[in-house]
Amino acid sequence: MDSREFAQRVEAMQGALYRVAYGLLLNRADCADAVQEALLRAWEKRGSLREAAYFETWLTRILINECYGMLRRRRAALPLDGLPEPAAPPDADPALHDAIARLDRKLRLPVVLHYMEGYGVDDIARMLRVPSGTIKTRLARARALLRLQLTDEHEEGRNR
Amino acid sequence: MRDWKKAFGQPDDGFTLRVQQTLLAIEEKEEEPVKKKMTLSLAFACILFVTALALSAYAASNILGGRPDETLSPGENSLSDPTPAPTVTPMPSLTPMVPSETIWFGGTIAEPSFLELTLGTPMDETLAALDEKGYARAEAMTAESLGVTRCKWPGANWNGEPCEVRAYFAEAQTLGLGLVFERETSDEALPDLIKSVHACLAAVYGEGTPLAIPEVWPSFALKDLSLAQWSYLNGPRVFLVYQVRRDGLVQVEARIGYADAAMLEPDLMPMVTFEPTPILMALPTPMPMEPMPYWTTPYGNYYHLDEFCSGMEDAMRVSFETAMNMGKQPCPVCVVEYFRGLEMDTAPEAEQTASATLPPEPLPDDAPPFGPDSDGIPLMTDFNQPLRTGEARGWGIDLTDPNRDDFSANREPLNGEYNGVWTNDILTVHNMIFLKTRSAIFMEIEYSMNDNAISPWSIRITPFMEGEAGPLGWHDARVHEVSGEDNTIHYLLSVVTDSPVDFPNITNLWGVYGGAAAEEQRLLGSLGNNPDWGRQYGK
Repeated sequence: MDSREFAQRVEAMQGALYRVAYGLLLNRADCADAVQEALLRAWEKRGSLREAAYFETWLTRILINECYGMLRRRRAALPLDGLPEPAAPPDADPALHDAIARLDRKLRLPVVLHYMEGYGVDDIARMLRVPSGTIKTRLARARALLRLQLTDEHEEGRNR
Repeated sequence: MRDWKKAFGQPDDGFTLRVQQTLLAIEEKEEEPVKKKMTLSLAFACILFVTALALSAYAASNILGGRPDETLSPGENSLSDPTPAPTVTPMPSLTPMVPSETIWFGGTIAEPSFLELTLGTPMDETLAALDEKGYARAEAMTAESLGVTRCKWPGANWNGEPCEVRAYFAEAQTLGLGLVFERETSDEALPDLIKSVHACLAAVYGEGTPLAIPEVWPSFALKDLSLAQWSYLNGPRVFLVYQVRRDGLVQVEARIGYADAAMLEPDLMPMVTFEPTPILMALPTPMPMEPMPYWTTPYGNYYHLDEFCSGMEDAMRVSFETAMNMGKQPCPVCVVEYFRGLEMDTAPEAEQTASATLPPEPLPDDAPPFGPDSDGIPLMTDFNQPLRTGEARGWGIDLTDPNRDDFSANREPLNGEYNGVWTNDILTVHNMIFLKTRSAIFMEIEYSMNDNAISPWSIRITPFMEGEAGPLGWHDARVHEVSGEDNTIHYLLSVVTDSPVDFPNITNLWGVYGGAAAEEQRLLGSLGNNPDWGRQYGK
């Protein structure tokens, strides 16, 4: 794969990269850092991509790992408690943003990959290297929590 | 209807710009090597031309004084190709069993009916007896490495409870029978389920060793690791195996069989291997004046002190060095037992050897305690130790390989190339978390890699334990689970104890990675309360 094809495929999935990174980091500035690192790493290691058809999954996995690395460094540098909840970006759906942001990271990532990016359960399971059943369970739990949160928010809105 | 993609908004201009800049930088990187390659190609062509001239001159006049190939001595023109030792896992040695052990099958407590399980009952007879009960046989599975076949009969019942019957066979003889109960239960209800099955078994076989439920129930760990625990009831032949599977279902098996029945199902049972390998300092080497005779067979995995250990036939006498060169492991029955008695005397010397081989670097003083009081309390230590695959020593394992526990077959040299992408990659061990329960230690290792795209791989960690009474030897830690999701590796370490329910008082735990030979080993870290407590070693 040459740099031109690489660039074309990255540009086509720019939005997806942003959403996956944001889903884990919940911070716009960090997203750009993570994606930049992931792209450089992916280019260096493009030889390990055996089938071009899996480019998107492969790059997403690299990005997820990069995000985990950033979270680890962030955890070491910052106290875990007392951090304010992340504010939704101005163009985001604030209710949905907050509901998803409140989910545990283990539930949040499958939601992003499945509902936002359209990956199937098996693809996500392979990507995260956990059993498909676990992904299904997490999606179900996430749905239940989101339903609860969004219904509460809707009720509150109506009562106001 | 909400649009999921609007949850986080769209990438802003800053994000898009960074991506474009990164792609530009990549494009520039790609162009640089092309220029270099052209320059190198010219230089290479010049060298080829000069070499061709020199070779043609040599062919014409032999001016370089080279000798013809036929003058080479035998072996000089051939590479040594030692035949690797065959890796055949022997059958577990079975303890004699009292004939006519029985298993309760169907009926109620008031009117129990038993199925005879007699030593050496032919497999066909047991199969026929179980088939006659009218349950459909569902599965026959053979663990090739152990030569053990397991058959299942779902849809059975025991005391009115739906259950599954399992039978275990080796060499067409019956080894054990089990009843498996599976149900959904909460963490709180799990001990009650286990207690109820225990009570029913105890009613038939006697109480024996009381069932001990730990104060801190490690069900969360059992669930996370899908770990099987077992509890012996009346002697080693009657016991419970309970497992919280990853799907949340609890599986409790009441099994009778040989004392070694716990080894029959490697996938379900944490394989207990107490094999102090002669590396670093665990085992004393034989006295040089009077070399101790060792025995082995060409196809066996172990070397023995007992010529007829576990019914071994046609064993040949070998020296310790020969046994090592053949790649044999110490027999867990005769060699380990012998050296356990000696280890007490050699412990101080052993520690000295270790210190000399691997100079320690101190960690912070607040290393967590690891001892008898730490049951169920996770202990964590931060290593942040990079392990370079480009180092000349040691080996790694591809963790996505389903046969990853077969270390002898799947090791990849760290300094070699793994599918062309491993060389000079770095794996960093960040945290090692230890959790001790009644009969196992969980090690969770958090790692990161500089090449995130390839499969996760792991060093093999071989822990060495010390108790208050002295060294407890090397243990085989199995990779139980690899999660690429949060970059963790779960190791499971079972401990052989004299008494099945009492956990030995582990005071120190050392982790070693690397190859099988002492010079390939590096000490990764240590937790404990001896002078080596809380230190980390290696690069």
